[in-house]
Order: sequence, then C-alpha cells, then structure tokens
Amino acid sequence: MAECAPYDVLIVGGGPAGQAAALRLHGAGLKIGVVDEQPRPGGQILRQPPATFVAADWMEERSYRPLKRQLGRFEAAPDVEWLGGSSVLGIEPGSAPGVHGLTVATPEGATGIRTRRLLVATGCYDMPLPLAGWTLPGLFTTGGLQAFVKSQGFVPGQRIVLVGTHPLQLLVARQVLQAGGRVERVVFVQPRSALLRPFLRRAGGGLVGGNALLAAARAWRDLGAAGTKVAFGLKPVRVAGEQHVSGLVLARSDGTEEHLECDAVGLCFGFLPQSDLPRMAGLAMERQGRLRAFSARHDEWMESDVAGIFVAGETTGVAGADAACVKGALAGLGMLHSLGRISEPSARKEAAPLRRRLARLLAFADLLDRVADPSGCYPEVDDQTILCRCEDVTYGSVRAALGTCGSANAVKLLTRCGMGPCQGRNCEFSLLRLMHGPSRCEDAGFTVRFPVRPVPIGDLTG
Amino acid sequence: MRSSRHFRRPGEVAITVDGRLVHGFPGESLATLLLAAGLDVFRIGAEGKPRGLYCNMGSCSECMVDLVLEDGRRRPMRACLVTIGDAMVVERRAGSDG
Amino acid sequence: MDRFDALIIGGGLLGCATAFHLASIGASVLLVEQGELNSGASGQNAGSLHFQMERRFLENGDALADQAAAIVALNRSAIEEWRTLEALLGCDLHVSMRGGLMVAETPEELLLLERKAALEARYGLDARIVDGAEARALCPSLSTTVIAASYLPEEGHADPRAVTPAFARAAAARGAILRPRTSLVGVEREAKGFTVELDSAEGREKIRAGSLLLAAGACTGNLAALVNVHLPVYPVALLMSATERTGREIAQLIQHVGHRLSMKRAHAGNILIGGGWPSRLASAAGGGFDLSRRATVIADSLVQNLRLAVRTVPLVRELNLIRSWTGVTAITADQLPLAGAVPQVPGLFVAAGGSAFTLGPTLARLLAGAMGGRPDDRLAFLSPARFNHLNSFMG
Repeated sequence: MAECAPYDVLIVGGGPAGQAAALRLHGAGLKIGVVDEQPRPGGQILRQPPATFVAADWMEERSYRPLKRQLGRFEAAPDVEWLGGSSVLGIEPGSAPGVHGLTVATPEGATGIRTRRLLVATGCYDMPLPLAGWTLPGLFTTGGLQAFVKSQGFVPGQRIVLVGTHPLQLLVARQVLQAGGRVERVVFVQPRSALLRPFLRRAGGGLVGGNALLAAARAWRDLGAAGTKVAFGLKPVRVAGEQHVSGLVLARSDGTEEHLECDAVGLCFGFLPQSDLPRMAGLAMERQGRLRAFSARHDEWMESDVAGIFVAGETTGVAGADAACVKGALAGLGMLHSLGRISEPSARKEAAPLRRRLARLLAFADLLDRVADPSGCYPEVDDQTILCRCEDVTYGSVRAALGTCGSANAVKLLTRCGMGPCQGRNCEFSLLRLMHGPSRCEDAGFTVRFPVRPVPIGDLTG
Repeated sequence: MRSSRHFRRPGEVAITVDGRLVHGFPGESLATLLLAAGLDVFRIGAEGKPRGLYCNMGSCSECMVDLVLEDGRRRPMRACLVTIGDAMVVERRAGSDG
Repeated sequence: MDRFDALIIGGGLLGCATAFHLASIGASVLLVEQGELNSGASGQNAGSLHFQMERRFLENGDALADQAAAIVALNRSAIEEWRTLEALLGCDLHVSMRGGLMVAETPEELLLLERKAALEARYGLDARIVDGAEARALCPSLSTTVIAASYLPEEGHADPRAVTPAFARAAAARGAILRPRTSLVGVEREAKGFTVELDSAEGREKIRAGSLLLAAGACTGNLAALVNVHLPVYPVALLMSATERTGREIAQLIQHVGHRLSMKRAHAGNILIGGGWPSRLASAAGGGFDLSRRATVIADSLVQNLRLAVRTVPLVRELNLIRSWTGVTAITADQLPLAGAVPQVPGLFVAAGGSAFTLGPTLARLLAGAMGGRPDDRLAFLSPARFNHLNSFMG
C-alpha cells in the first residue's frame, strides 16, 4: 500500500460536521483532506445527485438552505482536498509519534494515510428494526429510501408505506410525493398525542428547531392535501410477500390486524451514531440518548480521550444537522488550537457563541429524541424472525444462546450473530436490546474489527 | 420509478447485468439502475428467500454485487456506492453462489 | 467449604475437555473461567486440524526441529480423536477431514518438505509429497506457482465456535460445574491439595480442591505465580482474517512450508486466512504485557498474510475481507506445549503452550488420566519437568 506525506488534518465524513470543521480550518496553510464514501460531499442529509445530472429546485425546503450554503462554501474551498468514493477501513491511533494512521480503500485500491489530527465525523445510520419479513426486497430504511429520492430522483416503489416513530418520515413522504411517487400511508406507532404534545408544550419557546418543526408541519399539511393518510397508534406486525414486499400488516390497539397493500416499506424508528471507527481506535465511548447508543466521548473542543483524535456530528450523539455544524465548527477550532494556530483566549472567545447555540440545539434534539422514542413501539418478534441479516441468525437462536452466556461477543461466537459483512451494524443494537431491555444496555457490544467496511482483498494486496 | 421533476439526465448508457443489457443514466448509482430495472434480488438467504437492498448508504452490505473487470477478475462492491459507467459488467449474487 | 476432586482454571478447549474426561471417570470437578467460556484462543483460532509438523517447528534450526518432531506421535493420536469426537459428544462440530496440502513454490521449499517428511516418518506419519500438477488436481484453486506439496488425507478443520461449548455441555451433563465470569485470586497449598479463593459478581469464596489444573492459555504464566512457580509460557497475539462467504471450493487445509500461511474454507463458506502473523500485544504501564487489553492488528502483517493467500490461492483476491482479528495464545520456551504435573507442587497440573486446538481433545484426555492417577507416557515429552531448573528456587 502506497503512502503519501501526512496530512495536518484528515476529516472522515463530508457531511455537515466535516464541512464545518474544514471551513474553520481552511485558509490557515494546513494540509487538509476529507474522506467520504460518497463521490460528492453533502453527507446523507444533502446527498447530492450525480454531477452528470442537471438539477433544478433540488432540496428547496427552507430548512435545508443554511446547509446548502455551507456545502457551497465547502466545495469552493481551494485548500481542502476532497477524497470521495473512499472508505476508511481502520484507524491505528499513534501509529508513529504524533501521527495517526488510517487504512483507506480508494477507487484505485487501498492506501495508508497518516495525519497529525484526525476528525471522525461519520454521521449516523437508520436504526435497524427487525420484524417478520424485514429481509424482503422492497423493505428499506427510510433514510435509504429518501436517499434514492433526493440524490437519484428515483422512487423505489409504486405504493410506499412509511412506518416508524420518527417525524422525519413526514418529510420523506412529502419528498416522495414531490418526485411524483405515491405514499399509501405514513404510520406512526405512537399515539398522536405522544407526537404532538411535547412540541405544543414547547411552542413559543424560541426559534431553535423552529424550521424543522415548520417543515414537518408543512409536510403533514401537504400529505393531507395529496390524500396520503397519516395514521397513529398502529404497530407493524410483519412485512408480507414471497419474492418482494406485497404488504404490511399492522396491529391496532384493540389487537385486530390491518393489511395494507404496498410494494415498498420504509422503517423510521430513529438513528444510531456510526461508532465503528471510534470504537476500533479505542476511544472512550458513552451511551447517548433514549436509544442508549454508542457515541464517542469528547471534551469541550470535541477532542476524544486519545490526543489528536477529534469527533463531531452525529458520531457524538444524534442531534440533527444544525447541531452537527456547530460541533464541527468547534472541532475545527479545537484542532486549530491544538495545532498552535490560534491562541486559547481567541479560541474561547470564538467558541462561546457556538456553545450557546449548541446548548439550544441540543435541547431541541432532546425534545425530538423524546418524541421519536421507540420504547414501547418495537414490533413483537417471534423466534423465526431474523435478527442478524448477514448471517441469517434468528431471534430463536440468539435467545437460546443468551441462556448460556452473557456478553454480545459471546453470543456472536455461539450464534454467528454479527459475524457478517456489516460488522454488526445491522444487529448489535437489537441484540443489546434483547439482552438488557431498552434502558439498561451496558454491554460493551461487539469488539469492532478491521475492516469496518468490506474491502476486496485484491484492493489490499495491490 | 425515475422522476424527472428535479433532474435532467444525460443520454442513456447500457451495462451488462447477469449477461443481459440494462439501460441506465451516466452518474446513476448501480443500486438505482438495478432497482429501476426490477432486479431487486441481491442474494438468496440461508432460508432460501430472496434478499434485497436495505440501507442504501454503504452501511449494511446487503447490496453486494460483483463487478467483472476487463481481465475477467471480479471485484465485489456495494451497489449503492457504485457509479455506473458505460460497458460495465455486473453479476448479482442471487444464484447458488450465495 | 465445598471440596472438589479437581479445580480447573480456564474455560477453553483444554479446560472444558479435561473437565469432561474427569467427570466421566466420576471425579467431582469445578471449572472457573474469568470471562466467558471459549472466549480466548480456543474460540478465536481458525480451526485448523494440522497433523503434519507445523512449519514454525522447522524455522528455528535442526535441533529444535528434531526435538519437536516427537509431537508427530501425538498428532497421530489426534487424528483418531477427531474422527470420533462428534460421536463422542453427540453433536455436529463441523469436523471436515478432507485432506491438507502444505505447499512449496521453490526447490528450497521442496527440500524443506522432504526433510519434514523424513522427520514425520520417524514417528510413523506418512505425508505424501505430490508435484504441482497433482496438488492442483486435489485442489484446483491452488496457484500455478505451487511446484509441490506434502499431502495428508486426514487433515482438515473443525469449528472452534462449536468444539469447546460441546465439551462444556457434555462435562456439565456428567456433573462438572462450570462457572464463567469467575477468577482465581488466591491459592493456599495444603497437605492434600489446595484451598483456593475465587472471585465473581457474587463475591469472594473459598473452596478446596484435591488437584488444580492451570489451563488458562496466555494467562497461565501469570497464574502460576499464585502457586509460586515459574512456567515459561509466553503470550503471543496472532492475526487471522475471514473473507465473506463464497461458494467457490477449497476442500483442503492449505499451508505453506516456506511462509506463514494457513487457509481453509470453513463450514459456513468463509475462507479463513492465518498462519502465524503477529499482532501487537498491549503493554502495561510498568512493563510487561497487559492481557486484559485488546491486541491490535499490525497493518503490514495483514497485507503480507493476504498477499501470501492471494499468491497461493488466487481466487481470494476476488473476495471481500470482512474481518481480521487477533487471538492471544501462548508459546513455551522450547515451542512444545506444556502438559502434565508440575513436580515442585504436588497436585498442580498445567496445560498450555499452543497447538491446543488440534491437540486439545487428545491432551485433555491424557491429562485427565494423569490427574486421575494414571499418567501416560505419551505426555512425557511435554512434562513441565523439562523446565525444573526454572523452579529450583521456587515451589
């Protein structure tokens, strides 16, 4: 594997946090690189269409505007090297004095990259939600379905049902409609009051989060106008179909079932931080939010407990794109300070308003976290339901294994749960929930192994 | 369904999937091309059931396919992360190969 | 205070299998494991059943190679052991004995194969040397660079995830008590056996045991300090990798005589790649190794190991690497395992020092015999007595 001269700052993730950090760092004469799996910057929130497409009115919703402005500035920054289409496979902290090493799969093969400061801003992913039939073609995460719509102009189904607890599904449903698709129904598992009451209670409590709330409200109104019903208090039971999704069976609160015909289902129960790289690097982790998801611990400058490795954005706890921008800017400032390019008083002065803004954004994020809390909304799963998609491990075999062992790693060894190409991203959360219930998942989870993304062996050997 | 509400696409290209020509648009992801063509089975699970793409963001690996390179070698890739190119040759893993 | 005929420290293959055999002859057995059963090298190794001499025995000169050749006799016993193990334990261990090929790519490596075959013949093992064409006829996935191989039809692999749990279940069914998440914190020697202090989430507890077996893999050397003896057991962290599942066939265990490489397509269809490439053990602040912390993959080890795999079985380059991991095992001062009674401390036994997947079931059976009062000559060359000089001032 070839190696090039070390970067001053390498940023993993070209979403809102990574961009904000890069924008704070650029212009200081530093060698800055940004790695991302996507070919173009934007992250999942602004996943861009291919450069070969001519886009008109793309992502016109008002809440996206500040993010689009930041993306424009990022793409125009001349001294930020964009390393798109590349997957970071592993991190070796302190591979040499003062330097961290990364193994990166680029379109041209794997390479080693060294950097003096590393920012992990890898975002989050949809919480996988096992239920009967969830492995059928046509069943997507809502984030995945949305990515088709916004970055490809592709609606992956003729009749779509979205189900979950997270208000994002209102926005996604409207984006499907705007693209000319049809949404049969948006189903919230929680009762209507659980969704609305916390927001209403907060109404008038300031502008932070207001844009997001307004966007959701507008989406709801538009769905109604288009004849898409938004339903509450229905729990998904199973996804029907033999070769492809043909319907979704929902349970009403009185125990009766409703069969909705559809050819695509999106599941939207919340988001988990991408935590593999911080865990592989041995950073101190903590449990965040009502999902108790793994997120990287950090100090006031977003520096982890390993000197020189910073974290920002949803990797540090899912709080939305605006919070990610602020965390990214703080991390940029922190790295600038740690590289001796800004004095501590100046950094503090600059950080103060950022921190005030972050506090307000985090309060809103907490509200959203409460509203979208899936506790009590999870589908009932029988022993035949697949928990680990990669290895086809069922709830039945995991439940049996839990009778004889007590850690996620031991279950993995006994059942192969988590041994597949996804490295446990599809099953770890569900396993921990099964082991400890939603509130007390204190197991350290699977040991994260190299590579955090599958890589053709030929790419590594050259 | 490909929507033209927000995007204008360049002229079509054709790639080979499991031995047959499938049309798509330059820049499109391979996942989009496959799903748009109704080729939504990526492999057969241990229980014998078809398995599809799930996350569309590189995280789940459910959309793994093999690109067949010019020298005949295969290169496994996540279809959601592959940008299609003219004359690309792709094999899905929906056969007995798992 | 509870009393057991035998207390076993370590819930790996050696410990669980010894517990099974002791319980089978009516002994009362307690096994304690500081983590989960099978969570160490017994579950982390790549499952090779290698009955030819390992190449590691050949790389440190003739004297050590000659000495190590004695292990071939045990390997022959192990062949029979593995043939009958699934029947003995009544479950599927994914034992596959469809042959093993140790390949050579150069004339020098072929000479090494021939020398190895001569040593093995001395102990009654007949690995046949085949040319490259025959090797490829046996295993069509082998590279054209292979000019020869020594072939042993009985070699193969088994499932490390299944073997130890099967022994554990069988031991428990015969009355042995197995306690994971329980560690040994103190040992007092008595006229007839030991009083031992154990620590678990339920607190500390003392029990008495007639004999004590240390079978704690890389931790064995440190545990020996609790009994005031030296055991020359050194931790080593070895790298292994798994490809995604594939339908492409590799029937045999593939090893390389000139380089560190072992490969096989395991039961689930993943190709496992290893062969003894090092990982980096965590070091402790005050010196020494910190075995409680994870060992880390050395990037260069991984690339070298994978390159050898691709060179030997080229189809591997077309598969995804999905996981590389490190298992911490142990080697001894003279590279042969330690198995048997520690002369300085009556009632103390040890079983550690590598090769313990292939040889584990056999060593455990012989060791259980020794602990039950029937020592077996076949273990004599592995006796801790060969390191008596280290314990001249201990005990």
